Order: sequence, then C-alpha cells, then structure tokens
Amino acid sequence: MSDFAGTSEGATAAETTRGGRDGDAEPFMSVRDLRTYYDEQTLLSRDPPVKAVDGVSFDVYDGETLGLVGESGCGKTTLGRTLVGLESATDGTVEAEGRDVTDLSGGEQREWQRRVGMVFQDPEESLNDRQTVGESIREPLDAHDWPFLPVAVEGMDASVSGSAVTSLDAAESADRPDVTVRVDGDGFEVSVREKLPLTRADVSVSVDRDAGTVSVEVEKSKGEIRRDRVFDLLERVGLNEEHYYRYPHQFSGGQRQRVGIARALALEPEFLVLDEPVSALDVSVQARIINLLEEIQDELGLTYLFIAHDLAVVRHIADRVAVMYLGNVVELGPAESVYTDPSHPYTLSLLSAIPGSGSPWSGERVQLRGAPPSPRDPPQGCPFATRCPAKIRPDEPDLDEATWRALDELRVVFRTRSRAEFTTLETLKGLVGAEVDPESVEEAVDDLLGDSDLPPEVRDVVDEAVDLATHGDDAEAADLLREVFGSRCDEEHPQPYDRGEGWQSRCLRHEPDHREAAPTIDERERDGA
Amino acid sequence: MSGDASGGTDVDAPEDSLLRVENLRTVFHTEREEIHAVDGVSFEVDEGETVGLVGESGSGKSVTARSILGLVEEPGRIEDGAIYYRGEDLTDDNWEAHRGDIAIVFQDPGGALNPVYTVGNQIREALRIHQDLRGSRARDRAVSLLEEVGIPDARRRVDEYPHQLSGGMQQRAVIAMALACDPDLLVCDEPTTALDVTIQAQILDLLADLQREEDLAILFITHDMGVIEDATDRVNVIYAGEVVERAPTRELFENPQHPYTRALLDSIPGRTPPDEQLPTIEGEVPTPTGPATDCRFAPRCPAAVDACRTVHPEHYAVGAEGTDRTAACLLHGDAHHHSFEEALADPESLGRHGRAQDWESRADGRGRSESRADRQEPNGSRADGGDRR
Amino acid sequence: MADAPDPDAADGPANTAGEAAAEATNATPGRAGSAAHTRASTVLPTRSPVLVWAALGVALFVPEAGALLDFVVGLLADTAIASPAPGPLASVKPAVVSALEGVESAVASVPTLLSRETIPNGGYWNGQRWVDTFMGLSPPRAWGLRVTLVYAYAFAWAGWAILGYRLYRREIRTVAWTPRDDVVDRFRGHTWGKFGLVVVFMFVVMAVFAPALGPTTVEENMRNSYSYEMNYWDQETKSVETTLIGEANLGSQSTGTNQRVMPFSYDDYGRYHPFGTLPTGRDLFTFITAGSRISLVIGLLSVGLSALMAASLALTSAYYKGKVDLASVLLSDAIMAMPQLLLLIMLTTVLADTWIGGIYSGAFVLALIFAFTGWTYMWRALRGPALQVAERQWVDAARSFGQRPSTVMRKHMLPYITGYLLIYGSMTLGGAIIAIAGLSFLGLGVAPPTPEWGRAINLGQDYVTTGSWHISLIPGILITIVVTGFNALGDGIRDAIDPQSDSAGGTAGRGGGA
Repeated sequence: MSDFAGTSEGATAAETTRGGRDGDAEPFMSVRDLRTYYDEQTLLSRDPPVKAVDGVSFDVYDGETLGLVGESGCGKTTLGRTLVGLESATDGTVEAEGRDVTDLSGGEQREWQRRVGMVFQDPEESLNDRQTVGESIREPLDAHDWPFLPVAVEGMDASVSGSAVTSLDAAESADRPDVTVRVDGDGFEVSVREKLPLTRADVSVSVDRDAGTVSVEVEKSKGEIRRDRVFDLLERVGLNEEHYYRYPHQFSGGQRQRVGIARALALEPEFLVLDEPVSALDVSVQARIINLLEEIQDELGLTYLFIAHDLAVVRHIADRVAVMYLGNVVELGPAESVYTDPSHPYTLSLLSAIPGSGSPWSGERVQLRGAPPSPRDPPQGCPFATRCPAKIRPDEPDLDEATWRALDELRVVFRTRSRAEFTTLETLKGLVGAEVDPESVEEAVDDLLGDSDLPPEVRDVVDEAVDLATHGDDAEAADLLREVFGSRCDEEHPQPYDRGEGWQSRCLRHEPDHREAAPTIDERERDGA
Repeated sequence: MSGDASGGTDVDAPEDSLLRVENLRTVFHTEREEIHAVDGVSFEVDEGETVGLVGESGSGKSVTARSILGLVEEPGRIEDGAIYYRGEDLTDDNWEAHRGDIAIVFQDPGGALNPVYTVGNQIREALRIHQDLRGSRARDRAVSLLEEVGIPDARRRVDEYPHQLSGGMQQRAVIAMALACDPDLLVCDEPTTALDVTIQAQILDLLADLQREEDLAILFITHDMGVIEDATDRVNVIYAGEVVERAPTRELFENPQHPYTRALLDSIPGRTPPDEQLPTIEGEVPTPTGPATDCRFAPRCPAAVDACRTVHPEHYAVGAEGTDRTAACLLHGDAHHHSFEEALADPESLGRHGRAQDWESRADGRGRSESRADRQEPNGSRADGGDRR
Repeated sequence: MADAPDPDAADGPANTAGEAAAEATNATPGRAGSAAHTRASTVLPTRSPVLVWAALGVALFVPEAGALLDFVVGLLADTAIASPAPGPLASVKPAVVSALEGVESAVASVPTLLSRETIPNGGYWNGQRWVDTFMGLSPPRAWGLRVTLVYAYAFAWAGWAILGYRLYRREIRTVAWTPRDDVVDRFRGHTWGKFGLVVVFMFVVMAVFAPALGPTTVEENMRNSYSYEMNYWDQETKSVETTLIGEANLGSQSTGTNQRVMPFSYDDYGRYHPFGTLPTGRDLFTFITAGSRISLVIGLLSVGLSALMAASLALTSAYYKGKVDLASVLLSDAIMAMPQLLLLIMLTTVLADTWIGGIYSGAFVLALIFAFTGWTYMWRALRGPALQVAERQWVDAARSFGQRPSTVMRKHMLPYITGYLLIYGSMTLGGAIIAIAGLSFLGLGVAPPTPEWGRAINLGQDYVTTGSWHISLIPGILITIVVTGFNALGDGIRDAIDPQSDSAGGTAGRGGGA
C-alpha cells in the first residue's frame, strides 16, 4: 500500500518550461490545464463524460513545429480542434496574444480563427466536392470580407477615408498595414504590402494636408483581389491557376491535400494546426507534402502544431514533440532528445513498436498489453499505470514481473466487466446475491494466472476478488486488487519532471529514489517478463 | 478464368509450393476503358512461410488478394494466368472446393464484422460451415479461438457485439474467424493499417505466433515497408499491376535492385536526416489500360534508358547465385548488367535520355502533379475506376 | 523553383501515362478540355450552337407570349383584388386594380397559338357543315387537334430544355464530369422513374394549360352558364337554334342509365364531351382540367412550405445538435400528435369568411394547414441525412476558419440533402393530392363551385353502379395515375441519387485500384 500522501505539491518542476528554437522569452501560445470533455447528456441517461483532453499544459513558440503524437483516443485531435475553436474547452486556458482564446465571444472567435488555420486529415473529405477548388480556397476570404486594407499614414496626422479601406487603428490586423502612405515635404510616397496581390498602380491616393485627410481608392475590386490571392496560393502549393476552376474529384489525394493547405493559408494565419495531414497519403506523396510544408514554414515564418500518429514523420518535421496518452501529455521535449533517449515508458514503448529498420529505436521491442482504458473511466493515478512496463511495484509481496502483469490484467478484466452491459437476468441475479456467470470469471482467472505459482496470501486475495466478481460486484473486485497490489502509480497522478532544456516527463520514476524507466524495462525484459 | 492452356497441365504445376500464382491477369471492363489492375503477376508461397506483397495504392495488390480468393466481381474478371493451390488451378472455378483452405483478413475489422451478430455467433457460423461443428462444441471452440488470439476474458467476450470491442480486439476476432476454417494459407490485406502502432505490434506478434503454432502460410499485403521488413520472409514489390522485384526480405531492404524499390525506401521519412529534404518520386502511378508495352515505371525513373520505353522488361536474376532474387529492370538484363550507380554516373554509355532529376541530389518537394491513386483508402478498396476519383 | 506542373496533368482521364489512354479519351466528344471549343458542335450541327438554341427558344416562346403575359397580369390583378389594403393603401387600391384590369384586357387581345380563339371547337352544325370550329373540322377533331398541339408544344419545350442541358454539359461546361452527372445518367436509365416523370409532366401541363385544354370554359359552362348563349342544330326542327348554356346543361345531365352523356360522345345540343357530363350536365373534362390546377397549386404550395420548414429545421438542428436537436424533436413530435383532419375542419370553418379563406376558394388555407401539420414527415426524413452531412470534414473545415453558420448550412450542407428533399417532396406531393381529393370528396376541402377532382368523385358516387359510372371512375383513375406518377418519380430520383445502385464506373473502381 502506498506510503505517500500523493499530492500535487510534490511537483518537482515548473509547469512552464522554456524551449523552442530561438529560446524566445514569450511563447506564442500557452496552454494551461486544458480540459475538453464530451458530455453526452440525454434526458434519460447520464454516462460519465468522455475526458478527451484531461489537463494538458504546454507552450508553443514562434516559428517552431511542435509535434503531437499519440495513438487513437489519446485526445490529440480533440486538442487541435479545441485550439481552433471547433470544440469548446471545459476548463483551463489557452493564452495567445494576451487573451484566453477558449473564452471568446462570437466575433472575437472569428477573429482568432483568422489567425489560426487548420489542415485536415482526409483529403477526400475535407473539400466540398460541389464547389470548385478555387471556390473552396476562396471561401475563407469571402467569409471574412478580406482584404481589410488597413492604411498607415506616416509623417502626418491624418484621418483615412476611402471606400474599401480602413485606418490602421480600426483595423483588426493591427500590426500590418496593407497600404502605407509616407508624407514628407511636398509629396508623398505610397507603398503596398508585398504579399498582397495589389500593385501601386491599383491604388490612387490623394493627400489633403490642410484638412488632414488622406483619401485612398483601390481600383481593383475585392473580388478580383481575392481571386488573385487564390491564384497566388495555388502556385505556392504547387498547383496551377487553371486548377481554380476544377472540381476536387479531378485531383489526386496529394493534390487535394495541397488545396487544403492553400485554404488554410488563405487568411495569412500565423499558426497552423495540422491534424494528420499526411496519414491518408502514400509514402511517396507524403514525402512531397512534407517537403512542401517545410518550405512554406520557412518562407512564411509559420508556427505549426503537427498532430500525427506516425512517429517517423513527426521526427522529421518537428522541433519539439509532445507525447499524449489518454488525454495527458506524458512527455514533452526536443525531438531528437525524446526520440533517442525517451524518458517516459509510454514513449519508449511507442518508439519500440515501430516496425522496420527505418525506426528511430534501436533497442528491443517492448510489448504493451491490452488497450488504453476508456476515456470515460480513466485511472485515478497515472493514466498509463494499467499497461506500464516500468510500473513501480510494491515491495510486498515479492512476485516476478510476469505475475504482476497478470494481476494487472485481471484487474482490467474486472474493471471492464464492471462497465459492461449485463443482461437483465444477470443484473437480477447480482441483486439477489446469486452467482453471475461464474464460469467466465474462473476461466479468465485461469487463463491469466493458471501457470503462476502464487503464494498463499496472494491466492487468498485473488479468490476473494473472484468471489466478489461472481456475485456481480466487479467494480469492488477491481478495487480490492488495486488496494492490495497497487502502488504509487495507481494513486498519484505524476507531475511533470524536468529533464533539462525544456524537456519534461510525467513519470514517478523520475524521482530520486526510483530507478529510471528505461533501465527498469531493460532489466525486466532480460528477466524474461 | 484461365484463358490459356500453358499453365493448365498438371505436369507443369509444381506441387511443392502451397500457392503459386502464375501470370495472373485481372481486367476490369468499364464503359470507357479497360483497367488491367493485375497484369501478369507471378509469385509463390510455401508452407509455413510469410510472403509479402508491397505496393502503393493503385498497384493492384488488393485485386490480387481478391483474385486469389475468387472475390472478383463484374465488371472485373480474371482473364489469364493461373492460381495453383497445391497444384490445382483455382481459376477453373475451384474456389468453392478450397474455401476452408484459404482465409482472408481484411483491413477494416469493423467492416468485416457484422454489427448485428455477436462475435461468437460469427465465429460459430464459420465453424459450422467449414468444420461442421455445432452446439456447445462450437461454442467451446469459439472461446478457445478467442483465447488463442489473445483476447482476455474470452468466455465473456464471445457473447459481445463488435462495437463493444476495441479496434485491436476486433481485428483479433477477425483473425479468430479466419482461423476457424483451419486454413493452410492466410491472406492478410492491410490487416494493421487501420490500427495504432502498439496494437499493430501486438497483431504482428500474434500472427507470428500463430504461424509457428499452426504451421500457417501467410500472404501479407500492405503498403507499409516497415511492417514488411519485420513480418515477412520474402517480399514481392508490385507496381502498376506487375511485380517488379522479388527477394528475401532482408536482402531487399539492404540492397534494393529495382529503381522503384529504391525510390520507395528512400521516401520513408525515417531514412532521411531531419534537416534534409525528403527525396521524392516525380510523376504518378499510372493506371494500366492496356497490356504493357514498356516499363511502366520508366516515365518516373531516374535511371531510365531509351530502351525502357520500348521494351517490357522481364525478370532478371540479380544478386548472388541461388538467392532467388529477381528484378524486372533492363539494367539487370543481359544487354546491360549495370548497377544503378553506373547507370547514373555515366548516362552516355547507356544512351540515356537526359533526365532533369539527379538521383543523388534531394528532390525539390514540388514535383509534378501526382497520381489520383496515391491515397490509402481506409476502407480497404480504392474507389478509383476510370477518370473519376 | 520547381518546374511548372503540367496543366493538363490533373485532368481526369487525360493524364494517365501512355498515348493509348489519351487517344481513348479524345474520342469522347468534349472531354479533351479546350479542344472542343474549336470544333463544330456535336449536339447541334452548327458552329454556334448556343445561338441556334436560343433562337429555337424564342421561336417556341413567341406563339404563346400572349398567354404568359395574360397569366402574369391576371395574377397581379387577382392578388391586388384579394389582398387586404391597410389604411393608406386603401385609396390607392381601386386605381391599381382598374389599371391592372385594363392591362389585362389589352393583353387578352394578343393572339396566341394554343388558345380556343385560334383553334375553336365550340361550333355548331348548320345542316351542311360545322360552323365556328377550326377549319370546319368537327368539334372532336378540333378539340383533339388543340389538345395534341398543347402537348406537342409542351414536349417541344421539354426537348428544348434537354437539348440545352446536353449542349451545356458536352460543350460549354469546362469540367468534363461532375458527381451530378452520374445522378442524371442513372435517372436516364431508370424506366420507372422516367414513366413517373412523363406522367408528372403531363399533369403539370394539364394544370398550366387548363383553359386551353377543355372543350369549353369554366366560366361559360359552370359559373355563369345562364349568362351565355350557344347555337346548336336542333334535330327536330332541322335548323340552328339558340339557347342558354345553362339550359343546355339541364338537358345533358348524366344521372344514371337512362339519361346520360358518356365519354367521347355528343350531347343533344351538339356539344362534344370527351369525358361525358356530370349529373348537373356540366362538362367533366373541363371540370377535371380546372381541378388539376387547384390540386397542383395546393400540392406545390404545401410541399414547398413544408420543405422550407423541414429543411431549415433539419439543418439547424444538425448543425447545432444538442439541445436544439432535442427541442426540434419535441416540437415535431408534438405537432405530429395533433389530429390533422380535425384541425383542418376547424380552421377551414373558422377562416371561411376571412380574406385568407377567400384566396383561391380556400385552397390557400388548405395549403397552409397541410404545410404546418405535414412538415414533420419531411423533417424526419431529412434529419438523418442532415446529421450525416454535419459530420463531414468539409463542414468542420468551414467552421474552423470562421464561416458563419447560416452560410455553412447553405453551402456545405444543403446541397447534400436536396436529393432527399426531391424524393420526399415528390412523394409528399402525391400524398397531398390524395388528401385534397379526399377532403373534397367529404365536402371539407375546396369550396364549391370550384372544381376539384375529389368533388367530382363525390358528385358521381350515387351513380357508380349505374350507367353513369364514368363520373366517379374517371377522376378516380386519374388520381391514381397521377399519384403513381409522383411516386415513380420519387423512386427514380432516389435510385439515381443512391450511390449503392449500379453505375459501371463505380464497381470497376472498387476493384480497379489498390
């Protein structure tokens, strides 16, 4: 039984860590204790909510690529969607540009959504095939009535007038003027922002010094500007202007993904969330899209959150990587460090599971048993405790690792049964106190522990649990096993431990009096666990 | 249907290999064109070994699997070639006779399992058809099959519905169903593509264990080179309906001899340092609409010579004597016998049509427009027929 | 910089490697992109097909231009008369009405091809020949000619529209193929659906051209039959006599076996009745054609309104899900629980004397009631597809860049449920027609003397077992045929949209790839 009180004050590292490519002081975005739960309430039932994201904190720095890896159900997609505004956060904050973007009103949220673009996974599904590719890319521009054409006037205090323009203060993108009028001496000079599909010739400006007004008229219609912008974007992603008028079905998967990227870039965002952008593509096409993404990032100075389950791809493109499991970030650090010397046992297992010689892992494969627990019913302590190959074991009783794992699995069996749907007959039996399906319980126990040579006190506890389960009290059986055979890992939710250089990992083994995960696993594998 | 008689005589059909596919040709006749999805594919699988068939989408690997199991439907049909199972040609309408001998595991376990029947029900159905087991004996066998594939609490699970199982467990259940027929050959069509990497590792382990215990032969079809490397003994690389290289797995990965294999391996992100651009293949996978008159990879091949556009390469032996490696590339033909490096280093000596792309330098990411078939369809089948997606 | 991608390389069929593929695709007209614009059209044998097509359209339009104007002006006039004029407008109203009526009469004098002025059939025998009929043809022939012309004209228009579509698809549209083409092609091969389409088309033509189709008019024969006179050849006196139409009707009643005017026969006054006469002596065919108008109008109006409400609600509840969805389910369940028939009876009675009840003899009220009580059926049908569409990734994508909800629903969700709208709409129209007929049969629907098919059945119900069986039977058969037609059309559309149904390309594709 655990001797520790297991409190959150036991954290040994700061929640916010510095890192990122340039070591910037201020991160672009700070996520603090973000939780996104799906709560499906119907009038009749009240299932526990799905805790898709369950307390996640990290920073994203300007210009970096933060990789987010994990298996299905870990919550990475939900996290990405929450940042973009497609899901509403249940708790926690996401700070960007001085405000919490999870708590925005409609208009403010739309403004935030201009700054962050999202690239979706399935190229065949992310485009509406009833509209042409050009229309799809153009849609964000139409939706926001782009361009805003903020005008900055230098050298004079003037108010700006004109049909399509806004003045710099009133404009929403307060940092970048599209048209700059520099007034000096007798004349004035007009410059147009380069990235805009507008030239000096399209703009006519007149300056009235006495009245203190500057009038700017744009000859090109907004529709034309948008169309030209789409042409620019098409070229940027490696397609042609003609493709504007084509329908998605006329393109291959890789080309459609390029269209998706172009659409995400339309409003000149600073931040892109890429949700598995290459998972649905063949390897040779994947390579092209990855190269494209890297090019674009360099050219436009974008920040990426790259969500993927393919670790090799993430290693190639990410500067830092965060590993997620069951709604938690279990490890976060510089990509190279995490891949060559993973701290967290889950990261290690994940890396070792990659098949083939192209895998970043050169050691033995660590087999994980079973599947992740249900996000409706996450474990109380460390989320990885049910499957961890490096789980801290209590000193008493003294069993070998294989038996410990069998006991863990038995606990999972009971836990799953407690959540399963029993037939009415069985429920009645349970209520009455009669035996519920004893055969299956005994077989399960036999299957798992039949070969083991259990000391009598252990056998007693197992029998007691079996007894509870056969009378329908599976939850209690699971709890009993947890009480007797559980350890700190089942009680405490680990805090992030600092590994240096902005690298953190949530594992109790990082504490001084425990051995690190990697050598522990090594030893257990060697002992034939 | 086997159209020609060349493979028809039993004298020639070898009986030592379990499965021998010889010059298989499966064609789809649509209103607009003919698609030669499988165009002269040959390979064999011996007892107890795992043979891989690797290719990207549009290569014809899934159609090959379906052809072997006799699941090709109108407007597609097998027009030529033979599929010998223990010497008997299946294309002579012999599939029914061998239904229990060859089993298939598909990509999407959720799709392969009928959602309105329990898992146990479906396994028992297979047992009833193939083993004539009924009642409690069938039930017990179903439970033991589930245990064999590593599902804990099997006796409880056998009465559960597919949606109550996780993806990995569903795939295990599908494998259990396949094993219920007690097959000699298991055809696995992208069995782990839809699964997470740790679950994938479990399933691959399971398949290896089953192969040992039941002496199963496995034909493993996938696009994932890493999986092929770990899971197979020998591998066939398929491109545009043809096998372009055959080799024992380790040798293929150490020293690929076909330009396509090389290109494919090089595109894998793990093989390029993170700070370099990934090498890419120009062009797109063609959809073969007629018999092959040239090398189908030539338009995209950095080592192509003039002859590649007019001669359809046969398989030439490569590698050391007796290693049973072949590659369908003119570089290895009698006329040339050059290695890649030679071919690239000295273009003139081979009459090579200047290719703008240099193999060694990293490709510019913005290649030509790509194939419409470069997408891995998660539901097992490509919806790519003619000029539609 | 990368080399510029090949512009044609992304085109559907044309970018497969190998010349053979390119040749195969060039053989199909219009597919090879820009090449089509320079060669002659294959749809019409001319270099400028669009102009020819437009000219054809004008040529078709001119003969009936007068009728269209007449209709439009008449509609305006009727609306002006019927609509209540609040305060300030009250003084303006009479002036507007008279102006419109003046225009109406002016327009009425414009000759149109398919009117009974051009091809009259209501003449009389003067002993030697037919007077006042078209070219001296006997009434049935003149009438038959006019009816044939009407339908020929209608089908000519239909053909012109189809020609235009083919022209557009083959040559004008830049894209070689869209998913919608598959739907159209599948429908083209669906015999039952085409049958349905033809029946529906003919029904609509009947409703649109009702005044021109009947052997006489509702005004003359039914409403003010005592204000009009007609000539006829009296067998006894062997001379041409004159009588009031109302009197003539009294002499042409179909009441049983002894006294009746059967279909396709003359009555005693030399009038030809294609469907015989009613017990009141009025012409059944005219009754039917006039009644078709009301049925169609009520049907279209109620279905249109239902569709609007159902679609809006379905899209909204699919987009927002959660509580909104729950609320709409509760609402629709509540409405479905209301007894539609009782509500109908109550509301028609209550509103009978108000201005709203006066529009189109109560048809408007009926349509509204149908719409407000019947939208739930459509909503139920649309909810599933709408929820499915809401899950699609492009909807997510649109939301992610801040697109407004209404725009997302309109652009990204609505196009995918219009197919279902059409299916259920066409079937509901059939149901509406039956419902109206039923109500009229019971005496609850459209107020007499406005013609309606159900009322015809009612009028003839006493004579079903007698020699005047035609009065009930003919409208009954027609209702059956029309409703079957609508259902067949719905079936056809559903099969055309359903991606599971054949389409050689699709099945090939399934195996042709990986």
